[in-house]
Amino acid sequence: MAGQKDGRGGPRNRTGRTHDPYSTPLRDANRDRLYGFLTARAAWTLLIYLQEINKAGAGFWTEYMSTHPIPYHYGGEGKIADVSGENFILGLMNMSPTNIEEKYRDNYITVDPPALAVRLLDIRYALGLSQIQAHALFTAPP
Amino acid sequence: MLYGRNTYWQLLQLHTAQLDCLPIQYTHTSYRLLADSPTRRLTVFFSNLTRAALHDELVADLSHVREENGDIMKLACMQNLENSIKLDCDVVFSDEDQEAPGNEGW
Repeated sequence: MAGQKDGRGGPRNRTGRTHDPYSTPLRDANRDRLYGFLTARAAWTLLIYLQEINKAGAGFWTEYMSTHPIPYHYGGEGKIADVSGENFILGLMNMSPTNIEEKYRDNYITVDPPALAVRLLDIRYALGLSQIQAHALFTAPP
Repeated sequence: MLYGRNTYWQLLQLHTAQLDCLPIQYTHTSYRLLADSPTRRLTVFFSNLTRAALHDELVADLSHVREENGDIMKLACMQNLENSIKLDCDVVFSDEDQEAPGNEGW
């Protein structure tokens, strides 16, 4: 995603037709990397939450994070949607809930990847807000 | 020649915080760099300008995370809808494809 659709409103200007001539070089790459960074940090935050309350979910989440890395650059190792974390989230959204059998018990725990994806989006939004507050504090006049 | 292109690029590769120490450090080198040289002033000016622009764009991107989340949710819904339609239409009523010209020997 990350501003690839249209150039109307906000910082989303991917194409040459709608690109803002006053923006800095690497504008789109910086935005993709920022969203990928937020997604990765939100994923680690969610992993810690899951380790506290849901061991089966934490196991699933660890495996998913290892099999779906968010690369630093696009090019040989990944596409733009990989760098911005979009494929990471869409892969979760397109999965169906699975039942994980518990050891030594006749019981199972349901892991719902789309729900985890929504939780990840919430955490990403919160991290973005906290970053804005940190920057406001950093740039505030003395 | 002392304040030419090479010096300018060396200045550009430095961090802004290091620029204040430049006159002290560079008195030990072969070329001299004055504290009030126009090259240094220009470099500091452009560095601050670029830094401010990058900061503004960063804050603008950070304030659009919510819209980005909404776009990803919409895209996921569209993909799920598309997959469900594909599942509904995945019914083969005949084996006409097996009678294609490339399949005589089958």
